[in-house]
Amino acid sequence: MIRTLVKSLAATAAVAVLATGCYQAPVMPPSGWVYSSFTAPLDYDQEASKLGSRSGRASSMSILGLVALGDCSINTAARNAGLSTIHGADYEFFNVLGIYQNFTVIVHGD
Amino acid sequence: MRTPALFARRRGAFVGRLASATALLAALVFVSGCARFPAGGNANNYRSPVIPPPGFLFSQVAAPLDIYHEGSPTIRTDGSGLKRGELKTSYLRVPFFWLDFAWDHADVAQAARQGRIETVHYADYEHFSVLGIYAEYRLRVYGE
Repeated sequence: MIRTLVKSLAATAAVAVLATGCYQAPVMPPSGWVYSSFTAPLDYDQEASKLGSRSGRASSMSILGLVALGDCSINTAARNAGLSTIHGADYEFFNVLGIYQNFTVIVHGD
Repeated sequence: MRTPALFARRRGAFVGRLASATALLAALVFVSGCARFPAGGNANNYRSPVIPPPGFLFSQVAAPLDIYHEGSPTIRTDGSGLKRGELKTSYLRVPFFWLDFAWDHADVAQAARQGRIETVHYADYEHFSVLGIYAEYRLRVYGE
């Protein structure tokens, strides 16, 4: 009985760790371990921020938490859209069962 | 004939298997760097404002370091690209022993000097790691 209880507690703790998500950002909305697809602010200082006329994206991905590849840097995202000035940034997080995760940085500017 | 004792045994076996599977997943989460602890102990355990989903076996991801961008230029006044300064720190763990080493510098001032930059406009970084044993944290500053 006690053994089963300890195992259940261990399983709950493990699931709780998993549910916290495997990425880190200044602003992190609640994310789903089974499925997540959302956008959130990366740059959260909005004082007198312009929106900008264009947006650039750059992504990185992780498969099974074993292999991670990609370039989601500000520089690459800005270059992809040909921006000369950056005004702000958001990000998009996508996850399916921890098997495939994608992190996209979206920069806004002119 | 199915008795309450038989049901209890089967339920116990199922919970045991479930616990083993989740413990395995938790171990994977730990080694992949998903669980974050104070610095040290793992090539995937580092801190930065933005960390994309990591990989335990192999990881090579670039991400933003600077998150405040209002009015940051990405080109110089003459239309050419910004200058780039780059520095890295390295990390090595001796397998099967709790011995690890970290060396080199990746601070903004030295990276800017390396790139002959007088005004820094923004910064990115790249994290590279193999098998949780060897890692590099590469700082890239952009400016003019």
